[in-house]
Amino acid sequence: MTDADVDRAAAAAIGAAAARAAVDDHALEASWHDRPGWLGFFTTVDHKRLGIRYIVTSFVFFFAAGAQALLMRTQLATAEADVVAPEAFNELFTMHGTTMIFLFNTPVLAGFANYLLPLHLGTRDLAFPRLNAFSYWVFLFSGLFLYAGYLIDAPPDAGWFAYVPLADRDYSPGVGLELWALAVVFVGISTTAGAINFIVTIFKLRAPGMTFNRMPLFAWSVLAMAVMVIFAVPAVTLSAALLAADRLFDTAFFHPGRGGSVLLYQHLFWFWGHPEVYILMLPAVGMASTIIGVFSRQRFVGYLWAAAAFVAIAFISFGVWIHHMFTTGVPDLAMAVFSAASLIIVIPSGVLYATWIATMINGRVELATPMLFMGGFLVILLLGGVTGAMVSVMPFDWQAHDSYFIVAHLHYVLNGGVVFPIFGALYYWWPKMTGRLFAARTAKLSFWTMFVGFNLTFFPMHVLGLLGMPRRVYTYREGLGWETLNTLATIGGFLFGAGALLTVAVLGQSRRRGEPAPANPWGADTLEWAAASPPPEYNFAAIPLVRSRHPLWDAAPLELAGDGEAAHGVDRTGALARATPVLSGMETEPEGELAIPRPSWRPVAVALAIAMVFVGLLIEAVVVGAAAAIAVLVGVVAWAWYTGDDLE
Amino acid sequence: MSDHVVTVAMSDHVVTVAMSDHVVTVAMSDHVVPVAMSEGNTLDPAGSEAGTIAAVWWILFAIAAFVAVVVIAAIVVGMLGRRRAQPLQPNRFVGTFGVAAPAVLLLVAAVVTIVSTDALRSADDEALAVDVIGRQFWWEVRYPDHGVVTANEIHVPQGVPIDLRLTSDDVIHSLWVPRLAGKVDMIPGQENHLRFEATETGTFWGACAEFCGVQHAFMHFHVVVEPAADFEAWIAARTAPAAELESPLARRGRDVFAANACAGCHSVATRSSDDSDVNDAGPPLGDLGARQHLAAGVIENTPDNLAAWIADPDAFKPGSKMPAVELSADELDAIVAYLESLP
Repeated sequence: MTDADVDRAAAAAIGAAAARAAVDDHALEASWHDRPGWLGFFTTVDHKRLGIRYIVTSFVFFFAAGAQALLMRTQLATAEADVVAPEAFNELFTMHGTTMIFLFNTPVLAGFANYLLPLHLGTRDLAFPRLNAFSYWVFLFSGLFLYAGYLIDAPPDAGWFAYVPLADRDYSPGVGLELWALAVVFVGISTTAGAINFIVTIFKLRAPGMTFNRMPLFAWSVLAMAVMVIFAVPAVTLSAALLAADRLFDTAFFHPGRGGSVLLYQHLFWFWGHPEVYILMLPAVGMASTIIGVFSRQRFVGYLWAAAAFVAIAFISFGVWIHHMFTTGVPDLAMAVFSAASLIIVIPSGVLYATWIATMINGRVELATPMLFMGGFLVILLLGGVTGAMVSVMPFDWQAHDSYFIVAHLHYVLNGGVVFPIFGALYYWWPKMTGRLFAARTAKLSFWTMFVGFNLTFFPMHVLGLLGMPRRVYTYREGLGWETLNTLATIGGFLFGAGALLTVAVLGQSRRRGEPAPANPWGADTLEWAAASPPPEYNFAAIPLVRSRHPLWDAAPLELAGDGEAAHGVDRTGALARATPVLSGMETEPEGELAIPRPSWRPVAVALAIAMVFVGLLIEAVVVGAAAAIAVLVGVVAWAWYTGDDLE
Repeated sequence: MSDHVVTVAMSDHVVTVAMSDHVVTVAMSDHVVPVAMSEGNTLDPAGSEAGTIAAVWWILFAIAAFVAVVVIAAIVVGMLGRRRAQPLQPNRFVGTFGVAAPAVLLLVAAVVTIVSTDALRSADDEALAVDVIGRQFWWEVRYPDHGVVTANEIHVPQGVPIDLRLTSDDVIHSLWVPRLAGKVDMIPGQENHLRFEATETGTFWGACAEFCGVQHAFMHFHVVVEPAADFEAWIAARTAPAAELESPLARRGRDVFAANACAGCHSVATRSSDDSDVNDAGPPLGDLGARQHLAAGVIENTPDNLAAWIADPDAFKPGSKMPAVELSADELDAIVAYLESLP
């Protein structure tokens, strides 16, 4: 089918030509508006509200984990310092890692996907808006559950990976590891529910005419990520649940003396843990691709290469987990296979770099704030990538493993590859989200402070690793030659923190006194910039008909689809009825419509009931756990039973 | 360069004294760049495996530096350059720089991996077996062929294949002596091997590399590499029947040791046949007097340090399993005299 055929088919399916239905904006708002105040806060199912809430909540955790990092850096600035006690230090790095992975990186990207996907794809909400609200509440409650450890003075302290036997009751008797294991299982519910929502939305809710070949790269990256989540997260849920069972019910899955296997835990953990790196990176890299294209004023060069690279990374990343276990005595041949797979990831990564560079070279780059962050991302992730290739060479890994070289490598990948794009994306979509512009000069200062601070923190750590400094040490002896580099790293850490806080200041100032933002302040190409800033609750009064990869850049402006018998919710009448068109699988004509549910308290209630199940397990109170489990069942049935407005 | 180095034997271990101008220059530049002095410098190898890995590192570093410079240059050109009159051809550019070039480089990396892995850690029947058992937070060391047991200091002969057989009695640890070899995990219920040869004599610092609990940071040890004859002498000193204690103070110390909590956790055996399971919660102390360090490689072994360590272990290693035992000053002196007289 040619592009013209696609367009004709979609237009025909929609029905008669464009006559604006007589539905005014006030009526639309009345149909979509959340209740004011707290009632609306707890019952909203609006993907934009929830997306922003995801992002804000994640950033609260980001700054908490950042504060933990700076405490650790203060302790390590000098040899044999006495700033924090050894137990407290172990709690700090455990909570720092757990928070950054589970409560910042994963959910902040879910937040962006939440906010952006429906706008990007040209629809009115995610496929399962109430499930989306539920995902958010589960994420929030699991985060609070984990942080309750500080309230009861028992935060986990066995590392973010909680290797057994150290994480068993024999060696970690406190309640901290129960909190950790249950929180990991708990937050996995949120991640999985989110992934299902993203996959269905991408397959079924794209605007008419948006073939996969025209879908924004960010949507491709979210699709690859979400499929990975479905296959990877069950492994960590299992490892954490079995750990919790060993601790709570005295099972012996991981007890070497009782027939269990210590390495089984590591296999399960890393079967998730390595794909997780790409689960975190792909959406960030997808946002980076979008931003690089827009500020290069250039149609993305090598679009299909990039989309294929996302998919290839998703596949290959399931074959590399043993490179976290090169020192555990796995047989050489098995290690060689995983070593090779780890190296092969270089190729799709190389493809992505080639497309980004070609896009910039073919275009003319405008160094706006989001693009500066992309520059930082490109340089830092590159260095993280080359050290990644180095440590996939087994013998080198035998030296580098569990040394500061790995601390440097992983932060170049996750901070460079994820945090820099996230900051860039935050600046890029800020005017859309808030309807305000920000002070670009201070924002650029924030970037440079973060960029210099980051490299000053983590570059010396490569050298520290080569000089034999192991990870996860609360202090080190004088005379090992590590003092100067550690002091530098600490100074860099504070600089990075200051840069990040500067962004908070810039955005806070913009929120209060920023200039109003037009619909498309960056001159971007994707559909969200066709909506007002901020977009109305229903996103698009009439769903656009998409006719290219860059709908807002193309000469013919997007046509708004018409009304009629077969309109399937595309027009204003559809918006009034809270309907949005549904596509038939790979085809791009609407075949039906989806009713967007009205605000509901059911998602938050079920999430709360699940939280109580975990509280019951934690305090080993059967009655609480059983009562909560029944409440979950009742809640889910009640949820499925009724799709109307709970508040009417 | 080795012509200019004089080795001087001191007691039962070896100190290397550098005599040449060249080494003095290095020492001076070490002062300017203190990092070069590290006892844990993986790029200053003294063993077969560390030597191979250092070579691997320099190959990888050269490739990585080349890639980083070229790609960063391209990024800078992309970000600052003008729009090209002749745009790049997407498929040709991505195919060349995104697929073909990385493929060539990773083929090099794969060859390096295979060649270096093949050369390392292969089994050797002639190797000297040493059992090392990880404990929170110290290392039990056994020589099965000689029936010798010690802790926190592994003596090996220079230039002989060594097979460290590694396991753990509690949680996972990882044995790492950066100047001799890469690390290998010590896993309960499983035996792992680290096979290498020490090429230089000397005392080499090592540490636990897998987070193992509150005192992971100070779970250190040393490997003492000595000429074969010195190693044989070291073994002989531990297999010989224990000599009678000469000093009355040391004899009193032995009684104090036996009467207090010490003997509940520590044996004073050097022969594995004398080492019981009853008191193996702490390191065997049978040759403590001859060890270079105390408290799992953390403090130098001097009588004053030993007294301070026994009096208040938490001052050195908070959270270690060694309790502070109530002892009078006289009793402490006696115990120190006793332990420093062993073997």
